Amino acid sequence: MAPTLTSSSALLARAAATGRRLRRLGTVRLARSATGLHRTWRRSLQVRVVTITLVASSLLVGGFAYLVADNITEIVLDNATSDVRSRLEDGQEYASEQLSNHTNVLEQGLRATLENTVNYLAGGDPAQLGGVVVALRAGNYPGVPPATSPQVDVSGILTPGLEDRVKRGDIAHQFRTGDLFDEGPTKYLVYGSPVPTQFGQVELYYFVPLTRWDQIADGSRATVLATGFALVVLLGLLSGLVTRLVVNPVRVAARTAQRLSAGLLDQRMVVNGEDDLAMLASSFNQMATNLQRQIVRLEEMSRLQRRFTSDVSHELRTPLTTVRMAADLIYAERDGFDPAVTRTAELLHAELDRFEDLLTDLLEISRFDAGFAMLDAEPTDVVPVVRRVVDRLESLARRCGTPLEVTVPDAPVIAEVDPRRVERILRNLVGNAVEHGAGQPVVVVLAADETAVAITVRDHGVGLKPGEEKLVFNRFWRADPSRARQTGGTGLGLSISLEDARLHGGWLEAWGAPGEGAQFRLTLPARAGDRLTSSPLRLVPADASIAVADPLGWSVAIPGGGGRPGEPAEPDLPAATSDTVRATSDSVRAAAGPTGPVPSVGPAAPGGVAGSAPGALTGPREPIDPERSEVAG
Amino acid sequence: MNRRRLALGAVAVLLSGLVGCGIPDETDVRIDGRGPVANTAPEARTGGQPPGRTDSGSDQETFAMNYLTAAAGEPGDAYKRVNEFILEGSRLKPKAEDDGAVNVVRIDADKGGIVVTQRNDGTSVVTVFVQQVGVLQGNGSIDEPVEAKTSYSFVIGGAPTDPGLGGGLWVLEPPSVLLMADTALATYYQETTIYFWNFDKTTLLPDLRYLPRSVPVQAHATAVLNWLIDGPSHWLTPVAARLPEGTTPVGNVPVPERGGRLEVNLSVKAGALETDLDLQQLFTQIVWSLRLNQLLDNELELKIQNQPRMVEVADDYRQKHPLYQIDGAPVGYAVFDGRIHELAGSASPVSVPIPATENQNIVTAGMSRDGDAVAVALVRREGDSVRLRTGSGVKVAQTLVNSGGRYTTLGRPVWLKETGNGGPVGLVVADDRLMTFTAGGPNLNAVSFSGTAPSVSAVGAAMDGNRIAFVSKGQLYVAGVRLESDGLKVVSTRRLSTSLHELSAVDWFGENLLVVAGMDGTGHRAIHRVNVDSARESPQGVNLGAAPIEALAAYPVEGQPFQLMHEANQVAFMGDQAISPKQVAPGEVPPPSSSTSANAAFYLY
Repeated sequence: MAPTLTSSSALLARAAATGRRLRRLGTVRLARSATGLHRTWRRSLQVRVVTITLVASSLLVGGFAYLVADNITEIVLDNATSDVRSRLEDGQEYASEQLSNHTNVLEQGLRATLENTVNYLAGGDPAQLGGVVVALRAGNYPGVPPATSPQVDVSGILTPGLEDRVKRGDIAHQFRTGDLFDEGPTKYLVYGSPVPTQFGQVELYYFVPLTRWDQIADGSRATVLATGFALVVLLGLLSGLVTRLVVNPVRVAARTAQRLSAGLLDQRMVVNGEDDLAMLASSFNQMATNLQRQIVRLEEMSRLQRRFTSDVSHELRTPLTTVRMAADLIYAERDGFDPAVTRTAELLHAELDRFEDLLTDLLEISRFDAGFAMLDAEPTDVVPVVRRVVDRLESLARRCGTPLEVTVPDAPVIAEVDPRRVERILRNLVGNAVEHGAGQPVVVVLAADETAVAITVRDHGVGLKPGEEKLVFNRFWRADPSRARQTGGTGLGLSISLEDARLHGGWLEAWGAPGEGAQFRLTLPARAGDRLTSSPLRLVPADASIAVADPLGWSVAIPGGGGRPGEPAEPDLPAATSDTVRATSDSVRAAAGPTGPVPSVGPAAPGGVAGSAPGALTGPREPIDPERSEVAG
Repeated sequence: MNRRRLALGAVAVLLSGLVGCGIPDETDVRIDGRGPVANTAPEARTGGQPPGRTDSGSDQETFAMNYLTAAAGEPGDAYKRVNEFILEGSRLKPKAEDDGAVNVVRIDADKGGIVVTQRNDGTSVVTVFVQQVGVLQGNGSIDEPVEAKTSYSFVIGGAPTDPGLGGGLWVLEPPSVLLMADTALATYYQETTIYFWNFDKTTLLPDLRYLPRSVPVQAHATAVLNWLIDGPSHWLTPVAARLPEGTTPVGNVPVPERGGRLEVNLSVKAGALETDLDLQQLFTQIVWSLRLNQLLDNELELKIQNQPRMVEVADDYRQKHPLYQIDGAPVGYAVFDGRIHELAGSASPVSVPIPATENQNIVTAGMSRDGDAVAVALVRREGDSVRLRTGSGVKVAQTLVNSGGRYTTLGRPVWLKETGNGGPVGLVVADDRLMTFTAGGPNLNAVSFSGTAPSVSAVGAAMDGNRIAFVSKGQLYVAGVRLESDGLKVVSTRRLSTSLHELSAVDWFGENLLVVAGMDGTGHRAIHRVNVDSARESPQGVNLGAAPIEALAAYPVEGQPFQLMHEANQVAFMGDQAISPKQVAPGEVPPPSSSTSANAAFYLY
């Protein structure tokens, strides 16, 4: 350090700087550990209870210990003082008696009497008396030398203040620390009293070491402290133990509930004893048993229902084949019949076609329901698929007077998809659009990015009323029940399409507004098994004119139990009614059936395509949250 | 989080407070209240101080006399006081182990007393003719003199720097020793008798001490106690027992309240004073030694190592434990025509305690009684010689036996009352030798002295039975005697100095007082009272004729109205009157012839 910097301010500044650095470092560490502590504090009931108990009992015990120790010290001091005081009084009496022999301060024997008296009062051997020193001083008679026994220099302990008070006739005392015997500093109680004599007054002083009293005070204080500490520790342990007794079953219950909710329905708590916790465990177990029974019953019912559907479809297929053969025969010969019969034969033929379609769809649905649907994904160029569908429906479109427009990229769009299922979805969507297109153009757009392929089908028909974008995926749902079914829709097409999309791990969403028409969007991952995060195309068409009610965006109620509130997506878009349908295996399993409030989505995960995302249908443009995905998975 | 910090802080404060609380290292002065206040104003140092150097003015003789009294006072300061008279440069230096012993001298007026001789240089030579009395020791006793000088000379005058004598006289060339005139003893000292047990613990022996009057009354008891602890005077050491070894006083003897209890606190060696008798004897010794103490007017408490062991009202206790076995008043007897007659004036008339058949041819006799038991020693004339006839009995000595030998002269027998366990022991001077006998065994045995037995002309026995006084070759002696298996033994002898010479008779006149008969400076026979340490001497009877006084008979209890009797020239006197038959108690059968006078007289006590 430079010599010029030796000023205290500079030193202080350096110290302050160092302090600040240290403090900053400490603050960082402190903050970190505080965060950790806070987390522990929030998470552990046991830690909270133990800490509170420790703090409260420390305060209480500390307070009591202080009182007790203070009291003990007080008593010890009182004892010491009164002890020495009584000794002093005895000594004063004795000295007064002894000095009664002398009537004049000049007497020859006075000095001997003073010395004998202090020797007597000090009791002789100083080693045996714990270092009590007695002194007689004739402060008013400078000619008389003071007598001290044992002969030590007490001037270091005897203060002029005390001497003055005693000289003036007061009994006074003072606590002093000093070293009379070269044995290290000792606390002394110095007590002084005037001694009346025939010739005037002399002063008697006692210097009593308080070593023993100090030891007593220290010992009792240590005992109180140790007891208090032990008490606090004991209370902490006790509270920890009690909390553990209570918290542990609760933790077990929580774990059991987690397992139950994860599907391990045969998980039960161990019931020990007959206390409240045992009651909790048995109630919990009973609840679990009831839930399990209910779920099993529901599953069984659902299974039976699906099986019934499948069985019925199969059973109908054989007589239908026979009827079909007969009807084909009649149809082939219809020219030979009466015109009325011919019309009947044609009707029969057409209805049989529909019946067959219906049966096919039912079988397909039941396959989904049974979990037998398999995805045959292969790298496929989606453009020809789109074109093929449009080509096939061209005739129907013409019949309906609806122009079909297709917008596809020039380059092939390769994706790992099942072309048969994609084609079925598109056929369904385009067919529906043509059917409900009211003669307006139907636009099919294909777009792709690195992760996803999207196809939108836009019509400009009557559109969808608010809420209907969810219902369209229900089995046998009709926008207008009274409307005659002209095109051969079975009412299961969108349901099957939804299942197909799910099987791919893709999305199938609907948007619609009254008078604005509707748009359906199919988004599929480019690689099978990938998770979708966004779609290359917007669900709400750009030409939609309905203003957004909520400028912050739109929210979608998630059907089923496993969903979560959707985040705002495309807040810049005017959203009329749109829907995001997501389904988890739980929700699917829990609510199945054509009349359910959610689109009938068959279970895809069990027995489904390996690697397909369980959450096949999720909201668009959701941010990836790994933690959530873990939890959800 | 804040709450937690607060709580932790509170705990820390509590713990630190707990650790902090304790006996403080330092405090202010705390007043407990007023202490006791002395209720007497400091006394000025009162009388008892000899005059100072300048008190005499320019009177050289008074100055010289003052110088001879300067040593009087507390022994430790004797040199200091004397040196105040001596001009600086000539002052006396205390010798090693000298506790202020002072040579007491009697100024011998017969030889000239104090003679002042003026010298040309303005100074004077003072010559003091003295008789050596003794040495006043630090313990207040006077021992035999060590100096033999009969005169001392010293030079007095003004200081060389003081021509006008305004600064008073100085002793310019002092004598080499501390001197004190015996008159100062009477003026500045108080005679105090303390007591020691004899070795048989049968009687207390008085020991005369001189207490300076400068010692306040409050300290008298302490001084007496310290003397007791120090042991008896030098000459009594062979007969008087010290206190048990290791006995020390614990502090001073505090001054009691008026009428209160005087507390004597002693520390003794373990094992001493184990029996009640030991304790009682110690108590008796102390209570008698404090007889004259003004502060002991009620109870005396004896504490041993602070433990109260005995408390008695002093006067009552002394009455119950008298010093000597004296039963009633003495009875005077006189010998008329060889017969013993009781003298009138006795409080309780007791007839002559010998059978009438024995009461004849008696020259003189000595009797002693202890209760009803009497011991009698008769000196009977048998032709030209005399023979001792002794006997003892209850009230009357019925059987008397002759001693073995006949002697030309036999003095008056005396009895040592307390000596023997089997009765008193008698002493008699037979043909100038001190002989001893007992009532049952009249054969005379010589008293053994250490060294050659001196010729003795008169003997007297003290009441305590352990001290005798005798006259040998005209000199007066006191001696301690002890009865040993081979007879009575003189264990210590001390010569006393008197102003009389040609001493012829001696008897005890009190505990510490002798009467001695001799010739005074004027050539007349005189009887003087002399202290047992010869420090004080005063005339008892003067101008008693020319005939030597052959015997003295006194009742040695001071303050009693019993006159001294003496014999001179075969005539017994009471006071200065010859004892006449009229003084014989009435009822004596047959009464002595009225024309005769008593030849001898003595007291029975």
